[in-house]
Amino acid sequence: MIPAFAVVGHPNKGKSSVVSTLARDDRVAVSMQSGTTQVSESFDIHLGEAHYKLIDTPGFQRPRKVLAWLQQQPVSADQRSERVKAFLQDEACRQQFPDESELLAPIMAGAAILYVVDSSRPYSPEYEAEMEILRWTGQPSMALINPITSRDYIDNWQQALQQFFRTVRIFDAVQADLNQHIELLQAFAHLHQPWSESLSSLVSAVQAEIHRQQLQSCKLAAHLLEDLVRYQQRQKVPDEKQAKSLQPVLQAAYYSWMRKREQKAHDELQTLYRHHQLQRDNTELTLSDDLFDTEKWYAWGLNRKQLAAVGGIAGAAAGGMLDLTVAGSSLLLGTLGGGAIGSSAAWLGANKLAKQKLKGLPLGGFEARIGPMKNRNFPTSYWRVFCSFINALISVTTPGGILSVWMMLR
Amino acid sequence: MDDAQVGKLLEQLSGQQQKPIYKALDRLSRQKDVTNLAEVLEPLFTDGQIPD
Repeated sequence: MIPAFAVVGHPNKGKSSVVSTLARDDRVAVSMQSGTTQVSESFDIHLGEAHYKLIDTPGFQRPRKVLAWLQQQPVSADQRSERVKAFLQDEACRQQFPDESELLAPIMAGAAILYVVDSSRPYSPEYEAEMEILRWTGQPSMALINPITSRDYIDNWQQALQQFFRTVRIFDAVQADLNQHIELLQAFAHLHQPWSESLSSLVSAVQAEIHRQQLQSCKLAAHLLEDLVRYQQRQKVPDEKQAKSLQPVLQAAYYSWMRKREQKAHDELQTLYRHHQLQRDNTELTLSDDLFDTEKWYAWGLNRKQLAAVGGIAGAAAGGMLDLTVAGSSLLLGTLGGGAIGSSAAWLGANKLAKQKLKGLPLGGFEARIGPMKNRNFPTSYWRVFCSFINALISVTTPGGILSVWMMLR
Repeated sequence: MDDAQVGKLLEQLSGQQQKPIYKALDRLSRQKDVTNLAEVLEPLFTDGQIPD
C-alpha cells in the first residue's frame, strides 16, 4: 500500500496549510476547497519515483458524542478498531456525524494519522475526546503542533499530546524550511515499519529535488546575467540622419527585451520552485528616490555587516556631498577597483546602462547600436537583486499570494 | 560617516571582491569571457550561501 497520511484535528487549526506545505506545490493548495474542509480530499504527491498520499479532512465537530457512541458497548482494546469500523458502517451515524465519518474513513482505510493542533490556543480537555477516538482506530499516529500565530501554549500541548501520541513534533506550516520538512518526512518513516523503505526513498527524492532546484537556479541566474550584460540591438540604415532617428526606437526595443528576459527568468524560477499560483508585484528600483533607504542598499549589494558599518550614513547624508558620494560608491561595488566614483543619482538610469553608438559602415550607410551593458556595477547589483528573489521563492510556503519583487529593469 | 568608517567599508567591500563570484561578475562587467558562470555560482546555492 502507498503510504497515506490523514491530516486531522479540530476545525481551523491549520490542517489544510500543513497539507499544502507538505505537498510543496501550490497547485495542490489551489485545488483544495476554500474555507473549512467538508469532505476528505486526497492528494497524490509524486517526487521522482517516490509517491505518497496526503489527505485533507474535515475537523472534528462532535467528538464527545462520537466517543460516547463508541463506548456505549464495552469492548476490549483489541476490538476498538472494529468498533470504529462499525461506526462508519452505521448509516445513522454517518448522517448524524458526517464530519467524523469523513475524517475517520481514510484512517480506517489504512492512512496514518497526523493530528494537528494550534499552539496559540490553550489546551483544554475537549480535545481529549478527539485524541481518544483516534487512539481507538489503532492506526500509526503523530501529533503536529502548528504555531499559527504564537507558541504560547506549546508546553501544555506537549504534555497533553505525549499521553496520546508516541511522536509529537512542532511544525510551523507557514515558516517551515526545507530541513524541517525533510525531518518531518524522516519521522513519518518511523511511524509505520512497512512504509519505512518507501518513505526513506521519498526523503531522498526530496533532497534530490532540492539539489536539482539549486543547480537549475544557478544555470538560470548565470544565463540571465550573461544575456542581460551582453545583449545589444543594432540596425543598419542608409544615412546618419536615419540612424539618429532610429536610436530612441532601438533603445525602447533594447529595454523591452531586457524586461522580457528578466520576467522570463522569474517565470522559470517560479515554475522551478512550484509556485505556480504566486503573483508578483514588481516594484521599480529607483535610486534617486531611495538613495537613503538602507533597506534597499541591502538588496542592491550590501550585506548586514556592511550595512552596520555604514549605519550612520542615512541620517548624515541628507545634507552632505561627501556622504552622498560614499553612499554612491557603496552601491557601486564595481567602481571601487577602478577608482572612479560615478554619479550616484543616475547610476542605473535608463540612459546610463548601455552604450549607444552610431557607426559609419565601410561599404556605405550607418549602423545604430545600443548595448552591450556598460554599467560596471550592474552584474554585482543585479546578482544581489536576483538572489533576493530566489530567497523569497524558497521561503514562501503559503499557497498563492503576492510576492513583492524589486526590479531593476523598468 | 567619518574616515575610519569609510575605510572600514572599503576594506570590507574589497575583501568581498576577492571572492570568485565577484571576480566573475567583475569580468562580466568588463564584457570579458567568464568560464562557466553557473559553476562559479553553484557553491553559493548548494552550501546555502545565497546572499539574503
